[in-house]
Amino acid sequence: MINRKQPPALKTAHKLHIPNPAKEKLDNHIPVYLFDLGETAITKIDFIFEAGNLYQPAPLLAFYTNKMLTEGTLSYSSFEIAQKLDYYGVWLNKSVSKDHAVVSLSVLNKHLKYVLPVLNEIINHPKFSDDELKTHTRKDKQAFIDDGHKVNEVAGLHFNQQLFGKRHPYGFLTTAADFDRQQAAKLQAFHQQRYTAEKCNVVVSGKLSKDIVSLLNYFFGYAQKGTQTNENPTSSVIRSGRQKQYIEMSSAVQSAIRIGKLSINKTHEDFMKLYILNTIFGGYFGSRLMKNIREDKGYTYGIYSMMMSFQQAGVFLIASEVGAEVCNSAVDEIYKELKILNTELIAQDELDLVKKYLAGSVLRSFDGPYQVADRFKSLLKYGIDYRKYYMDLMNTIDSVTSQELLQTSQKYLQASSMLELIVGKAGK
Amino acid sequence: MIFLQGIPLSAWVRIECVGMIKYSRYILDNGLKVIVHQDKSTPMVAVNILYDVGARDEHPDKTGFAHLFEHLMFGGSKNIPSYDYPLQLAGGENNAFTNNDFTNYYLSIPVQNIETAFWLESDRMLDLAFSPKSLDVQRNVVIEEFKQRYLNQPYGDFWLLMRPHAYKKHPYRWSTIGKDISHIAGATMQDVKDFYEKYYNPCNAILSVVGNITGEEVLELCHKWFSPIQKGTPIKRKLPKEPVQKEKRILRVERDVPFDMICMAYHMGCRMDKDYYATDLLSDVLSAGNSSRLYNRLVKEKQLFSDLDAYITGDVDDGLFVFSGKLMQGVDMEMAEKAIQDEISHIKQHKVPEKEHKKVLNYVRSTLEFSNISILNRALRLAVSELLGDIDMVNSETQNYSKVTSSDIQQAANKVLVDKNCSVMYYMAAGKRKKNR
Repeated sequence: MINRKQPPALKTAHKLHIPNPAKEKLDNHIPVYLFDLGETAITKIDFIFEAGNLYQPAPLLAFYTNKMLTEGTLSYSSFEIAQKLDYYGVWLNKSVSKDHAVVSLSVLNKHLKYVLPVLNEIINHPKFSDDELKTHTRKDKQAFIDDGHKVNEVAGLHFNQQLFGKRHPYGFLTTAADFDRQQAAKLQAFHQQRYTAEKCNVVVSGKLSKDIVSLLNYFFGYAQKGTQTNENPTSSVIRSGRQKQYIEMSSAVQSAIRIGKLSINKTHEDFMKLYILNTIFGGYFGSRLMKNIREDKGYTYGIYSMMMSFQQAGVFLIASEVGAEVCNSAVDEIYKELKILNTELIAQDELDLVKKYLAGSVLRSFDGPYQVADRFKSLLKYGIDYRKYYMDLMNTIDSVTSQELLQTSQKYLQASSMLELIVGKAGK
Repeated sequence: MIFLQGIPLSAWVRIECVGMIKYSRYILDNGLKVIVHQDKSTPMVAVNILYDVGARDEHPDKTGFAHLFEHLMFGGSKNIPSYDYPLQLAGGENNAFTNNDFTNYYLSIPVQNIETAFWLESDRMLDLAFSPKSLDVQRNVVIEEFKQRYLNQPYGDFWLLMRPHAYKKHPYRWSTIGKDISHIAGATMQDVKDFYEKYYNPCNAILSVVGNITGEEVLELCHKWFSPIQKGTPIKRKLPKEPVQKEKRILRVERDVPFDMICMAYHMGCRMDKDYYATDLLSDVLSAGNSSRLYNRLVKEKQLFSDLDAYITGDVDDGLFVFSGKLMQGVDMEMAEKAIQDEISHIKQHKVPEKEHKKVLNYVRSTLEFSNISILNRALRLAVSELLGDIDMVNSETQNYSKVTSSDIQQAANKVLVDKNCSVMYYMAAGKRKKNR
């Protein structure tokens, strides 16, 4: 008979292997980073432009410039582009974040050479038209109005402004009217300024064909410099708004909670410790917030906290949707947990658990070529060497003490410094 | 003794083919089915356990139970007070989901610590802790999940309404979350124990493992941890077959949402039906990608919908072919329905042109290839193929799609997309009505 009470002995996982990308330059100096890994004959290409929300003078400009890239170009109509991409089974993903705009393409290697000319049209020769734009803004506006009935969406939108303030582009609050204000000419201008060789990085991952660099150079190595722009996109300083906000939605059966504050980003030496501390607090399934507010009290389906890093700031954020009638109790419990984090040393067994969990989680996050490329991309904008960063992270996970984490908590996560937003019904 | 079934020959033949998933398949004495696919490129291993029980197996007065039970599986087992703690200590991460057909638990862990996964999974298959506190708390958690996903979202109750509209006899007439919160609130410890006793047995489960590990190594672990578990009584499922629908059904509801929505659901065959692949491709011609017919003609050109989809539910038993779309402001329901009907008539009368046919085939092929990148996805696909009774589907699906001709797609349209086979729901925006008056 086996003794089932006795856990199997744990072994140390493989040492983390962090591959270095091959680095090339196209004729127009666009840097290309290549991760030739994996066994599946699929290539993923990410074009990353400094064209995120940070650079927009008004809401939605970055979003629509990116979205409309595929809706008509010099040589093809939007339908022809869609047909070509679908015909070759391409996954094309366009996205805009606070700092960047990305056009990302995944394709079976055998189709790559048919698809690159289309990608070239999309990236270098979009033709923005008011007709196409209107079709999209009209339907997106309806989806936006639908979202206005979701406590979670409303909370996300408004807490963003509460954190970053009205004046900074990170904090711009999108309204339904902004959809009507979009103009093709403005998109065209934004494209000319921001989708240029000197504001572009390319990351390629997968099982790569030998001629990938020359193919990329043929299609993307000629594009010239863009219009000169002011390199400092915004002079406004990030200044958070009101400390507490409540937005009532009377029919809500759950309320959305946001509690958080501005913080440091990945360039700061304390970021890793804060990241580990956040994991303990609300960053994994066994976290303190989950244990207390879901697994002990049953107030919510899920609660989590996170450390986010942007070019001009970092953010610590707690988010959950809880039963409207227990909303106040849930908020109280969150502050109680923060207070414990600010005042008590983390027990050694809890710290050990999180260290093991995080080590496994970092290993998992490097599993496969596309994940490796994602890790690399997440640090590219800070000019940090990603191998050094992850080796440092593994070392910090290994060496950090409860004492250091308590200091980190007191320095960055004081309960009294938090901003708070409730959307829904706050109860009594 | 271990019973080896049909591995060697077919497995070796497959070695040369690109993109194929090679696997070994075993059945333990106690009926547990085990599938192993070795992938040397990853430091992690995926361990997937599928229990052949879903919402369709529930009593009509105790719906939502299979899913509630899934939550209780994390409340500690006979010899191990916490499931998550030792798994996280071993660097693992896990989750689970329940659908109408089955309940699936999956985890990934550094391969060196795979035995921790076997220890944990076998103990909760052996016996649970049945803690009253866990039942209390998880009832609340699931009620909050019910609110978050179905009640506190515009259009969130859409499937809660649509299922009983389209199904009258088959248990697909309720959602996995259950018909009503009261069913979850009323679950007792005795219900929990009975359910566990009946369904959570080796003979009702499929274990699949994907990672850098051989079949022999997995088998040895299975022997140690799973073989001592009692087989349990095999279950013969006797579900009522949904009667053939004789006339079009119409349901009209008003809700506090900003815009109108329409949903049309047609009955189609089961997952193993010979027409499954043709019907799936039919939905792709209509709705997959930005070059699809519905998106281009009805969303972009005519601007009748803000979004519009056609898809199949892909259930194990007889499923649904669904159109669902949100109407643009100012478009009335009749116009919207007629536009969809026109597209249906067109595809029933005309063969899909060769180029369009090839396009959807390519689309399906890439989707399958892309989904195979993840070891967890591969483990799930292996387990589900085994559940469906044809493990080899994991490799033959691409071919099955390729065999579908343009006439097959047209025939599928003529068979499924028939008026009297349709249940339509008009989901009206209550607030908007008032304003218009």
